[in-house]
Amino acid sequence: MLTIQQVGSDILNNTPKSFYVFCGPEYGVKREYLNILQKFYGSKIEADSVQSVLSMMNTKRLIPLKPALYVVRYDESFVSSLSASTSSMISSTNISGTIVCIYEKPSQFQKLDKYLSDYVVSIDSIDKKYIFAHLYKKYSQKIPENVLRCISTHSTNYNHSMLVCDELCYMDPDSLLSITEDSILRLVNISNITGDTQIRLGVASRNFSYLIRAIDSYENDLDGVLYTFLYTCIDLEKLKRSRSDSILTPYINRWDMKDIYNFYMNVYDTIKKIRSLSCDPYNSVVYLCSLLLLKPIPSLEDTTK
Amino acid sequence: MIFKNQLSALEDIEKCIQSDRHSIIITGPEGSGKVYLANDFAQKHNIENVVSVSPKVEDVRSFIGNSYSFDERVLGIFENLDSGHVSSCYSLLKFLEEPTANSYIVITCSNIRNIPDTLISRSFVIYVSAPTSSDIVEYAQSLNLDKYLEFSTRLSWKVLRSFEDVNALFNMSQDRIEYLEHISDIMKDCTNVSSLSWALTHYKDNSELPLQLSIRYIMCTCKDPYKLKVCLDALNDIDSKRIAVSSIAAKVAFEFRYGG
Repeated sequence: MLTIQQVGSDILNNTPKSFYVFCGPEYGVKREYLNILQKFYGSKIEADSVQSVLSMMNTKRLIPLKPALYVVRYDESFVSSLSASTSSMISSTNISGTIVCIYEKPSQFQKLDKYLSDYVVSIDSIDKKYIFAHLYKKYSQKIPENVLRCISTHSTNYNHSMLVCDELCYMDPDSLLSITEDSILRLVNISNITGDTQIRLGVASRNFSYLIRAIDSYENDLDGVLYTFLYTCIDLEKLKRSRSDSILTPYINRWDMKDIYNFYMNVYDTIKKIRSLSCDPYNSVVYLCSLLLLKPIPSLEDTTK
Repeated sequence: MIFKNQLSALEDIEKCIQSDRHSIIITGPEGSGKVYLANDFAQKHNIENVVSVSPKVEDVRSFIGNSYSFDERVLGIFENLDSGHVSSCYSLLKFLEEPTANSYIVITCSNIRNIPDTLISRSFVIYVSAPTSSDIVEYAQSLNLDKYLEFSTRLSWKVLRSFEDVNALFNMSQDRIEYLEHISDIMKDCTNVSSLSWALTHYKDNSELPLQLSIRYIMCTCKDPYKLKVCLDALNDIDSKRIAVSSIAAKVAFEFRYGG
């Protein structure tokens, strides 16, 4: 098995090998390495199976293939087809560029390491201090150090902390200076049980994935979620009219009055429909959450056409 | 006193007494005199014990449980059963199929669509319409002639739709009447939806104000067809009881500010 240091050194020094298998839960590091490799080759090709890429490499052609990065994600058939001869088959193939296979499950790692130990690297959780160092290098221009430290301490892994940082980069710089640790903890999804505050933050930040996670662990029923949506709209409108200190203030720039109005009307209509028709409340809530991704949020007339 | 809107209902009550019906549903708008008709039924049937039962499941079950031991004739008035949980209605089913000899039931509701068909099919349904303008005048005069003369030329008079409204108006303080008569102007001073919806549902002293009342005052002074439609929708939503009143108030506020 390769060590992460060996692979990192190869990739950062622009001397990548022709075949890698990235295994493990830390997608953030995988993503970093893929970005460096993509920059090195200038192009990235996403392929469905390892077999199809290897066949392409073995095909005789007049004009040779341009070196490129080939990425194959979670190819289960390749894992099941592994045998003692696979490693030699790969080494004998003239690969133009680099093929990177990505896997996550520990059970797959065992088999991959058995047959492809020269190519496999385990990318596990990174130490918190290294996460902070990476975050600082990447985001220190936009995000204050204390916020980065808080994110690196509380996030579940490097990828998660990068996602939170990407999210924070959209915020108004002044609001970012005053963001509370509590708000960051909610963003990194530390609380196990969701209350109204998390739902309100999810709506205000228009963060679909955060909001869905919050709804899935909400302490009350879906009716409570819908009414929280309504009250959040009222609060956003109030904040838009006169800026004041609130947990929603950092996100107020993501809304205009028309969006607040349209979202309120859509939620209101959904509550009425749920009460009178036999429609599934959870699907209706997910639908409403998806509206938050749209800019502008469609009016009720548009959504009921 | 007999009002025009109750004439046919009173005839139906006579029929119920003649046929010794034990279960009646009286349906009509709020303040149309449904409880008055229920009491009329008791009086004409010589029932002295009249019990008012709330639409809570436990209260309904308790009345039914006690009905087996009634020595004298008892009338249970189940007020606004449509606003209770559907289980309350189903608790009554068995009783309606086999009523005890001494117990009678009058169910009142403003929206009969919220009453299960199984209850409707086992009862005699009496419809009562909203009172006419002359009924309201007659009622107000009989209640307090001086107050009638004081209010009959004011905006507040145009808002009255039911006997209950007359009672409410005559018992209302001058501050509150002033507030309601100027609610459209008050709304103009509200800076955001939150304060606007608060103004629609609270008097100046922050005590609760029924939303339908403030909306009816707005409708009397508003000429904008869009806003009138918003008000009508809001009244329907309040009537359907499917959504919290505070959310309906906020919807009206949003529509007034940003709709149209």
